[in-house]
Amino acid sequence: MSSLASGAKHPLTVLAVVLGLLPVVMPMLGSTMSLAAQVAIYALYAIGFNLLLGYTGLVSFGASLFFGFASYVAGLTALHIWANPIFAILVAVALTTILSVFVGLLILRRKGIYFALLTLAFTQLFYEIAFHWTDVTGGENGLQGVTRPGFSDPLAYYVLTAVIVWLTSALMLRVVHSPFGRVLQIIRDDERRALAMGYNPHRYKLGAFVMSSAVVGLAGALLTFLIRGAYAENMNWQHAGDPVLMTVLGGMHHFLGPLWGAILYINLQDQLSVVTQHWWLIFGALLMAVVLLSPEGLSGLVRRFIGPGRWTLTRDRLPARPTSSANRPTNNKSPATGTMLEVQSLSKRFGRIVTADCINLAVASGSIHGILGPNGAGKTTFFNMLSGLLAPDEGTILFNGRDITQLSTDKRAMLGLVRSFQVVSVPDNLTVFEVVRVAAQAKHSKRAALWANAYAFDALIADAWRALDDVGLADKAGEIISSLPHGEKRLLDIAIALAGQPSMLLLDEPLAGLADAERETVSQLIRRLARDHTVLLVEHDIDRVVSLSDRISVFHQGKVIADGPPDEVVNHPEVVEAYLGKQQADHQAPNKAHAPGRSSPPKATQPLISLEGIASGYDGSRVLNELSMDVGVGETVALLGRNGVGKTTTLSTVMGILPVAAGRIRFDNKDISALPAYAVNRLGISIVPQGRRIFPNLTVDDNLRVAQRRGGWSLDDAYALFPKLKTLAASTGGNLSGGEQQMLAIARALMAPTRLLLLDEPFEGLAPAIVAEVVEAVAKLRGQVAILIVEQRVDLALQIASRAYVMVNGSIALTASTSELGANDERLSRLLGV
Amino acid sequence: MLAVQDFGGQIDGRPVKVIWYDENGPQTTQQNMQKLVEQDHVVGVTGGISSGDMLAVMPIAKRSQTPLIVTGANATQITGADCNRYTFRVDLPNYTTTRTVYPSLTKHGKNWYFISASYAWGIDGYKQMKGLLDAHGGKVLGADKTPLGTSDFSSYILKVVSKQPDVLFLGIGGSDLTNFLKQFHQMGLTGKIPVSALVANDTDFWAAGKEDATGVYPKIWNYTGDQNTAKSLAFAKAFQNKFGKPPESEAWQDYFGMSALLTAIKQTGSTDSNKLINFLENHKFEGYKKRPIYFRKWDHQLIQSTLVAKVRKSIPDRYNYFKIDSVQPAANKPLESIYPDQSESNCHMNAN
Amino acid sequence: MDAMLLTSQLINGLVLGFLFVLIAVGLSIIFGMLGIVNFAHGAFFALGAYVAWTLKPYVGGVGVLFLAPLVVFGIGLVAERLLLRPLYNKEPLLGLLLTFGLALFIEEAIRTIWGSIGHPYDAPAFLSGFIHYGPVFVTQYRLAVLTVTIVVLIAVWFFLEKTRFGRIIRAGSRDGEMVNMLGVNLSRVFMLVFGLGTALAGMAGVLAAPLWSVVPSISEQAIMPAFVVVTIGGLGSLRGAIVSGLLVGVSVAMTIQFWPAASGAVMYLLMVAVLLVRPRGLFGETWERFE
Repeated sequence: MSSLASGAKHPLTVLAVVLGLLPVVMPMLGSTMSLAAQVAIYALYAIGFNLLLGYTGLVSFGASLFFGFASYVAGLTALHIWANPIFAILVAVALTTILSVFVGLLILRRKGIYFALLTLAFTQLFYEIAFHWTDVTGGENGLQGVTRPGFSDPLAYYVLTAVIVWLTSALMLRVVHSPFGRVLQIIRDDERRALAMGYNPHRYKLGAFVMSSAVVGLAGALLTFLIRGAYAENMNWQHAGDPVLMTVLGGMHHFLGPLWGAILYINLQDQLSVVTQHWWLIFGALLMAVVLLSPEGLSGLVRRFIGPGRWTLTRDRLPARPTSSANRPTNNKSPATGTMLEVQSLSKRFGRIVTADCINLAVASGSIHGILGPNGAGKTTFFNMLSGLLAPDEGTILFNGRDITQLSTDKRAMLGLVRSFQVVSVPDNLTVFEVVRVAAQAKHSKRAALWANAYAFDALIADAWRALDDVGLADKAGEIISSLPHGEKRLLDIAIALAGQPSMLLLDEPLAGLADAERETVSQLIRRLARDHTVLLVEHDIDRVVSLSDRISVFHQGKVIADGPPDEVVNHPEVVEAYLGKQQADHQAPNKAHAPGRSSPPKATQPLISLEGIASGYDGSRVLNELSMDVGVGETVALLGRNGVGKTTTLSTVMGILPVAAGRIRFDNKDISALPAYAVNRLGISIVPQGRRIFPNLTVDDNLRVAQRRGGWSLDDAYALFPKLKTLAASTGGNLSGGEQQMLAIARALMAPTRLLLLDEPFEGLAPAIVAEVVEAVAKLRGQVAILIVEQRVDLALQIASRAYVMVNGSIALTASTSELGANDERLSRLLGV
Repeated sequence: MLAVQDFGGQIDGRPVKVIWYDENGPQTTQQNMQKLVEQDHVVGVTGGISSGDMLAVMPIAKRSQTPLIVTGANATQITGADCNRYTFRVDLPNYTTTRTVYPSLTKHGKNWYFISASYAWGIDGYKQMKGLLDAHGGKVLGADKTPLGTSDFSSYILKVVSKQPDVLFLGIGGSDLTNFLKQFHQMGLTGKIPVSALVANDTDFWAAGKEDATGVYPKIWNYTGDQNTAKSLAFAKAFQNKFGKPPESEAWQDYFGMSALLTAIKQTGSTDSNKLINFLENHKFEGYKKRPIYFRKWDHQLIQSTLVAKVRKSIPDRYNYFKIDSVQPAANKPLESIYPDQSESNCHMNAN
Repeated sequence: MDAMLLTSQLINGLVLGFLFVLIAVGLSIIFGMLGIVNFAHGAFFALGAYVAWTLKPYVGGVGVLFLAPLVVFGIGLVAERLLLRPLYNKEPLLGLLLTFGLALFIEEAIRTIWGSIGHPYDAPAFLSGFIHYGPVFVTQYRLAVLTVTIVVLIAVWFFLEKTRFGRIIRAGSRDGEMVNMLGVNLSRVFMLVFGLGTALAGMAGVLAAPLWSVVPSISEQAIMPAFVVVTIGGLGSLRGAIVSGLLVGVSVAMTIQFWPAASGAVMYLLMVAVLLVRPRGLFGETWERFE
C-alpha cells in the first residue's frame, strides 16, 4: 500500500498524469491543444535549465541562446535537408550540444555575477546575429513554412511532444540522482569543498552546462515544429528571462518545480492577455510578490503547508547500512616509516606582507604532527598551500616523495592528501549522509557516472556509514546539514575528509568553537584516526596539541621558529616569547611605569557598561551563556581566554551586530540590548575589530573621515597619537602594513565621540617594534576612555589593563585585578592553557 | 469596431462577435492565430502590422482555410512569393510605394542616398527604389543599413551630409523614423535635403513633432484632403468622436479590412470560407476611395489608388501634418499600373 | 571631408558614450553598495524621459533636467524601501528577479499611463542649431548633452570622493557592517544610494529624450548598453564606467561608419572579449562577495 502511495507521488508518475491531463483541461479553460503542447515544451525547457540553476547553482541567462539556436537548426534542417521532424530534432540537439561545449568552455571560467552577465552578453550577441543574418535566419521575419509530416494533427504532435518530454525528464531524473548529479549539488553549496574532496568542479559544471543545453535545445527544436517556424525573439534579453521566471515561479529546488512554473507562466500569460492589454502590469507585480513572499516558488509554498517544508532535490530515504561492514579495509594504511610530507623553503607574500617565509618541514608517516602559533602566524596560509588552494611563490612540496607543488587541490586529494577547514565548510542543503557518501565516491571509478543510481554502490555506502560511525554522527545521517549545531558540523567536516580515504589528513583548527565535552570527543577521534592516517594538525589549544602530537612545529610571523618533540618545543625560549611576549621570556618584572592603571582600585565604583546574564551566538549555535561583566568609567579591562571561547562574540554582541538572545546590556544606565550597531556607536561605544577591517579602497585620511563625528577626534588628534599615519595620509588603506592598519583602526574608532573603546586583538600578527608603538598609544588613551581589550598576548593585556576577566566556554570563569595576576599565575595558565 | 457598427453589429440577425488578440512578435501572434482558429473557430481574421508576424500566421490561415485580411503589413512576399489562397492584403507593397513617390522626388535630382533598416522590408524597399533610379539613369551616392531599433542616427546623418545627395530616401519606419527626423532636424538639415521614405505612419510623425517633420511620402490614406469620399470622411469623424483624435492611415486600413470581411459575409450570406474568398476575389468595393478598389484575383493584393503626401509648411494642429500633392496613378492610367504585373510577381497561388 | 566625418563621428561616439556612462554610473553605485544588479535601471531611465515630457510644459526644457530626476529619485526611494529592503543578505538571484519584475511593471505602467505611441520631445529652442568648426560638425544640443554629462559626472566624482556621504558609500561598498559599526545607519544609506542611482538614470533619460524618441521601448535601448558598460569597466568602478562607456560609445559610432550591420553586436563582442581577458573588467577589483 505504501509503495503504491509513494509510486503515485513519484515525480515521473505526476508528470505523466499532468501531461495526460493538459490537453483535456486546457481546452476546457478556453485554450488550445497547441498551447498545451507549448506548456509541455516549456516545462522541458525549464527542467533542462534547472539542472544549472537549482542543482548546480549557476545563474545563467544563456539557456535562451541554445533554445533559439536549436530552433533555427531544426527549422533549417527541415526546410533544406529533410522534412522529417525526428531527424531535424536530432540534428538540432547534436549541434546544440557541440555549440554548448564551446560556449561553456569560454564562459564557465567566470563565476557569480560575471558568469551571469557573460551568458547575457552571449545570448544578446547570438540574437543580433540571428536577427541580422537575414539570408539564413530570415531576419526579423524568421523562418516559416516548416511542415511536420506524420504529425500535422495537433493531437498527434502533442502526443509526440509529451512522450519526448516525459522520456527526457525521466532521463534527467536519473541523472540528478546519479553520482554525477550529486556532485553538482555539492558544487552548488560549496565549490571549494567539492574541490577538496577531489572533484574538479570545472569539469562537472561543464558537464551540467552541456547537458542542460542539450535538453533546452531539444525543447527549442520541438517548438519549431509546434509553431512551424523559428524566430529570433526567443533569444533577446527579455525572453532570456523566460526559463528563469518559470523555474522560480514553480520552485527551483524541486524536480517538478519548473513544470508547475511552465503551466502557470504560459496559462497566466494566455488568460491575462485576453482580459487586459496591460497584463504585464499584473505579471510584473506577481513576479515581485513571489520573490518577496515565496522565494521557493509554488512548490515551496505548497511544501510550507504539507510535506517536508524544505528542498526535495535529494531523496529522504537513506540506503540501509550494508551488513558486511565489520572489516575495515586496510589497503590505505600508511607505511610505518619514512617521510610522508616534506616541505622545502616554501614562501608566500601578499603585497608587503610575508605570510610564509622559507618554511621547511617534514611530517613522518603515521605520526600526528602539530602546528602551533599565535593568530596571524601564517598557519592557515601554510595549510592552503599544502592543499593547493594557494600557489606558493617559491618552494617545493613533496608528498610520498612526489613533487605536488603544481598539482591542483582535487588531484592532491586523489593522491590521499585531504583537508578539513578552519571555518566549517560543509554543503548546507544535503543530508549528512549524502555529503559523506559523495566524499567517499571521489575515488570510485564510477564517480561521474550519469546513468547509475547514486545509492547503488554498496561499497561507497559502507564507507560513508563507517566515516559517520567514526565521528559519531550515524544517528544524524538523515538530517539536512544546515540544521546541525556547530559542533556536529565540525565533526561532519572531519567525516567528509575521512570518507575520501586519505592517507594524510590536514586538520585546520578542528577544535575551534567547540565546547569542552566536544573538544574531548574530537581529540579522541583524532587519536583514533592516527592509527590509520598521518595527521597534520593546526590548533590553538596548546594543551591538546601537546598531548596529541608526536612532533610539533611552531610558526611565528611566517617562519618556523621551533620544530621538535612536544616537551622540547613548549619550553623553547622563542616559543614562550611568541606567545607571552618579550618581558615574560626574559623573566623580567612587568614595567610598572607603563602600567599606572594598576594603582587604580580593582573595580570602578560606577559601571559604564554592564552585561547581565548574556546569551548570544550565531544561527544554530549558542556561543555565550550567562555572561556577566562590567567596565567602569575610564577603566581599562582585559578579556582573556582561549581561542573560540567567545571573546569576539562578546564584543560583537555589545556592538549590536549579534542579537542578544537572553540577558541585558546596560550602557550608561540605558538598555542597549536591542539597538542596532550604528545606534550603539552613536551612544559612545567604538570598536577596533579583529582583522582591523580598514577600508582598502579609501585613503588613510578618508578612512578617518568616514568615522568622524562632532565631539570625536579631529584628524590632527589622530595624527598626534600616530605620527606615522600623517605621512601615509594619502595612501590607500589596502596598501598599509598590518601595524599601520592597526594604528589606523584605533584612530578611526576614536574619530567618533567615544566613552568605551573595544579593542579586539590589537597586537595580532604585528612585529615587536610595532607592538611597542601600539601599546604606547593605548597606554596614552587609558583614563580618557574606558577600554575593553581582547588579546591573546596575556603579558601585554595585563600590562595595559587594571582588571581582567578570563572566559571559558562562553562565560566568565575568573575576575581579578591585574596586580593580583602575574602572567605566570597558575590560574591563568590553567584557564588559558599556556 | 467602427466597421462592425456600420453593419449595425449584426448580419442577417446574427450578432458579429469580434475576438481580439495581441500581436507581439511572430511567435505570440502565431499562437494567438492558432487560438482563433482552433478554439474560437472564427470566420475570418483581419489586422496585422508587422510583416514578420503576418508571414508567420499566413500558413495557419491556409491550413485552417480561414480567410485572413492583412491590413497593415507591407512585405512584398505577402502577395508575392508567399501568397496563398486565404490571404488578402490591404497595405501597399514596396513596389507600389516606391512608384508612387518616385516621380515627385526625381525632380530634385538624380543623386540619391539611402538609409534602410537591415531587415527584409527595408532591404527590399531599397532594391525596388534603386531599380527605379537605375532605370532612369540616377546614381546611388551611398546606402547604409541600420539595425532595427537604432536610437542614434547622427553617425549616419553625418555620412549623408558628407555626400550632399539630391534626395535622401529612407527605408525605416516606426520609432526609428521618428528618431531619424528628430536628429535630422537637430543637425539643421530639415528642409535642406529632400527626404522621403517607404512609408509614412501618422503616429511616427506625431511623435517626432511639428518642427522635425519634413519630406514627401507615399501614403495609402489620409484623413484630410479632397480625395476622400463621403464614406471615409464619415469614418474619420466617427473615429474622432470615439477616440478624441483623427484616424491614422492604419486605422483606415483596419477599418477597410473589417468592412471587406463583413461585406463578404453579408453579401454571400454565408460563413463558408470558399464562398467568402470567391466574393472577395471578385467584388469591387465602392465608396472607400474615389475609384472602386478590389482584391486582385491572382495575388489578392488590394488594388487601390495611392497618395503623394507632403508635410505641410505650417502644421495647424497636433495631427494635421500632411497635404496631399497628388493621387496616383493619374486618373487616365489604370490602377494596376503601379502594382507588379504577373510577370514581375513571384506569386503562384496554385503552386503554393 | 573624410577627416570631418571621422572627427564628427568621434564626437557622436563620445556623446553616446557619456550618456551610457551616466546610466551606467548609477547602476554601478547601486551594485557596489547594495549588491543588486538592477534590471529596472532602464525603466527608471524611461521614467525620467516620460516625467520630463509631462513636466516640460510647466517648467521648461531646463527645469525638467532638475525636476524629473527628482521625481525619479522619489520613486527609487519608495521602490527600495518596499521591495528591495527585504532581500538584502539573501540570495543575489532574488534581487535580480525582483528588479526584473519591477522593470516589467514600470514599463507596462508607462504604456498604461502614457500610451504605447511615441511623444514629440524637442531640444530647448536655444540649443536647436549646430556648430561647424574646422573638422567638427555637431549639433548644439549634443554639445550641451556632452557638457551636462561631464558636469554631472564631475559632480558625482566630487560627491563620492570629497563628501562625507560619498566616503560612506565607498567604504560601505567594501564593508557595510564596519560602516554600520562606525555609527552610520546603513539602511538609510542604501535607500539614498538606490534613489541616487535611479535619479542619475532618470537624468540620462531627460537628456536622451530629444535625441531618441520618448517611446516605451526607450528603456530597452538603455539597459543593455548600461550592463555592457558596467561589466567592461569593472563592477562598482566609477573610473571603469567612464572609460568603458566612452570605449563602447566610440566603438559603436565607428562600427556604424565602417560596418553598420555589426553596430548592434559590437558592444557584446567587446564585452565578451574583455571579460575573457580580464575577468573583472578593465578596472574591476576582487570583490569576494560577488564571486
